[in-house]
Amino acid sequence: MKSDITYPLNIGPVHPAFKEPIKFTFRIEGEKVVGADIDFGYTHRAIERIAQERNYIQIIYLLERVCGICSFSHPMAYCLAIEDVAGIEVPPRARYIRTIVGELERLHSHLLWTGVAAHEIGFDTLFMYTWNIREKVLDCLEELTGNRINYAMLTIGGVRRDITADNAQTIHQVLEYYEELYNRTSEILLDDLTLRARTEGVGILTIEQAERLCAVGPTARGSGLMKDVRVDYPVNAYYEILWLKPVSPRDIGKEPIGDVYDRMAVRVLEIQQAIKIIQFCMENLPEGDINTGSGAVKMINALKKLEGEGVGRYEAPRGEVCHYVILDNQEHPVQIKVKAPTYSNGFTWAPMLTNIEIADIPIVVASIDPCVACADRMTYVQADGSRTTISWEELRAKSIQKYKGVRRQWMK
Amino acid sequence: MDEVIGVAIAIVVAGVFAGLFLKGIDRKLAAFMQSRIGPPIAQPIYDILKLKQKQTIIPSTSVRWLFTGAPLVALTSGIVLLLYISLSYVCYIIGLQSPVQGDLIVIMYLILIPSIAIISGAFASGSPYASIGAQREMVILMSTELPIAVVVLSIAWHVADSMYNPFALQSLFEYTLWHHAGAFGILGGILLFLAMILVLPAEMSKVPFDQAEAETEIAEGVMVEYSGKLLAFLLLTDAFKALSLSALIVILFFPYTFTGLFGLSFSIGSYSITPLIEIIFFIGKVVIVYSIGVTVIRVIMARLKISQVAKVFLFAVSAISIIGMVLIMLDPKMKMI
Amino acid sequence: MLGMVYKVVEQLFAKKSTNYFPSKYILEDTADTLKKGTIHPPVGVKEGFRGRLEYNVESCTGCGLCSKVCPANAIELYPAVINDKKTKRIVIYLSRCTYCQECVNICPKNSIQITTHFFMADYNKYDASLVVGLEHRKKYELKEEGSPDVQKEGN
Repeated sequence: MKSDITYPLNIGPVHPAFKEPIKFTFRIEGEKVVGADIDFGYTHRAIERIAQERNYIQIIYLLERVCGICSFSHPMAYCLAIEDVAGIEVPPRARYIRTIVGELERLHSHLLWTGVAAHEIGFDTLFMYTWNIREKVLDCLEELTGNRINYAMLTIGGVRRDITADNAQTIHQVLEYYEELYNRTSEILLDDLTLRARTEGVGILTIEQAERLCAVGPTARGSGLMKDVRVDYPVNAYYEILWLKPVSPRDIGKEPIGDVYDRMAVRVLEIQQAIKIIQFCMENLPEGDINTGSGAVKMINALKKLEGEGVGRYEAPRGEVCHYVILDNQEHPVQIKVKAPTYSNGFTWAPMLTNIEIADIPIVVASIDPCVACADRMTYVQADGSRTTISWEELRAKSIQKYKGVRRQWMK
Repeated sequence: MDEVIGVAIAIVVAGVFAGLFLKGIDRKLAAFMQSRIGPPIAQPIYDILKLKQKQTIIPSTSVRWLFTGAPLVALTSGIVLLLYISLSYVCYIIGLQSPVQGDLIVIMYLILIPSIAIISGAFASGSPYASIGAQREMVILMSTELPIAVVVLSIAWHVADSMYNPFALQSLFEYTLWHHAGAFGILGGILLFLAMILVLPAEMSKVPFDQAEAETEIAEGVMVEYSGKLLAFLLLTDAFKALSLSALIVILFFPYTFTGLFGLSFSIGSYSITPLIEIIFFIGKVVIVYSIGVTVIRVIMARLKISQVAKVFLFAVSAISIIGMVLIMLDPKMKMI
Repeated sequence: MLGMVYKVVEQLFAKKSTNYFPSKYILEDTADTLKKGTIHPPVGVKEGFRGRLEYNVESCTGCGLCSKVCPANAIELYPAVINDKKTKRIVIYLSRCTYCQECVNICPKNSIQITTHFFMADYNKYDASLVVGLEHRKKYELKEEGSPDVQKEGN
């Protein structure tokens, strides 16, 4: 006597729970989700294509706009890739400043995520509170770099602004503020009754699934996977931070099961870790140059004469960012490939979104800190504007064809 | 009799503004608690005035007569609810003879009608979000029934011996729950009050019990398809409900009058302004009850899941109210009468 | 939950963190009742903020490096006649500008300066307040037959 009592529920492309357009189609049975389908592609911006027509300096600012929150991580990975091709040595002071700004960005990104997650479960006071204390780090970044979000701090071979004595004082003040606040806030974030009721045992991603689906960043670490680009492939000043290790819910004495609470705990712990890293960098900040000294025009002219391919990997607040560039004696790269963290983490939605309630959908979707626009790589539309789907084989063949063409150009 | 009709009309007219201002105070207070400046207190009135000018869109998949009729039924029943709860009390505090006594059992059913109207409107809209919201609203309605019934019964039981009609609101004005109460009775009364305070956000669809309208889950749920004038009706219903439910809690637990408490009377020249003071005192009590029951609770909690709500009400809140009832029954001083 | 209660009560009496929406000016067609409201100035910025650009047309040599390095193509070179000499000058469309400061850093004559001025919202993105150097363009531009419209987007 089994009859089909499920019904479909579309959430998205535009929905109050999502900050960016993405479409989910669920099969619902009562209040339970029995099946989920994800549809990307509503906010493709063709940044990789635009990058092929910009010169190497212009691309830094273009890539800053891949993601509003990871606006340091994307150009960072790009600069690392270019430095990889050109073999540019970054001065030590620049490496430390890069680390400081990167960790300040992590601090503000995790505070932002906590607020968003609190809003998804209707906890508006916590949302207002975390965004309120986030203002402090944004003010610090504004003083340090000249802007709150798009820092424009990086250049190929170093950074553009130095940390002056005044800035250093501000950073110390901000760190003191957060250290004092951390104990009180972490208590609210990790022990609040209703918050725990909504996050514990929800959206479980086991360690095997996380490994198989290539989860990165806090999503992987929340499942107990000790994976962190800062530790595994250190860049910048992370070489010198010997005590650095990936955080895990075990640090607060909890065995990770990979639910939303664990991912939240990882992010809260990373706030503390970021404070420590900045303190270390401020104490050990070496003297010296902050970049290679060659101006933008010189740099473009030097890179014009190069050919080769480079990869840059960097741990963004959301996970691993990986940029791949191909240079071919031109003023602009022949090809640039951006791999944003959501690109990897998006697949972990599939196991997370099964066997949950409708009420859990927003918080589970938000728990990987999705950046939908970062992950959108292509839209395939018919001439009349209607959307269409192409098969996996077709897509793979097209991709191989495209990259073969690109590589042949410079390999000759 | 003419005076009473005048009072009734005054209650409805004043109720619109009082209810909307009550919601405004709620929003302002919540904003202050969240370290925001917040909207002006009159913002709900501006919202209504704005919605009045907006286009009302009726979805093509809806059952038209039910979709448009439901908000009207909800508003009417909201007005009736307010009148039924507060008419006898207002007459009492300003010193008039009221023609209605106010029956607690009728009030229990009247509370349901606006919600049922909104549920039917939501089902008639044909939107899946609204259907989910309506299902959730029904679950909440059913789970709050038991605590309300227990509270009403214990209070009626308490006054049964000394009053001719224990279910009449009027009986409560002179013979309150705290009257003749010993330690057990006071503790029991506090538990009953706590149970009613927890029922208030559930009836008002506010965090942590706002599953029916959960913004980030089902995009305002039951109200998702309503717009323009119909939405204004629903907001007005909400204001009436806020006012009447807070007034009910005030009448059940703190029906004391200002003059009764402090033994003062006021007059300017030969005119007595005591009724005015009494009404201000009453509204003040309503605002305090609403602030505790809705504003404070909604800022310190996250939204629960619907399965958790059912558990909270069926186990925790029901248990609180039943313990309160038992305590009142055990009170030796009360038995004496 | 008690931590939250404490926080909420503390915030109820503390100074509020939000500001009133800043306004630049009161529009001509605003209703009279609204004009009674106060103008709330915006919150200030730190020193070193990257804001509105300023352009010194006298020291500019028209080398065009800034337009080459601009990531948003917000800088447009136009042929100009100054002191009877044919040269080039720039206009900066602030509606496209990303405020990255590259043009300021690269300018050999320091003709472009960055200020901390950020209060620039307007209804028209080609408004004189949002196109730096527009008044010089009107004065110096080399007028040829079929010369492009002044309001051409800088791409």
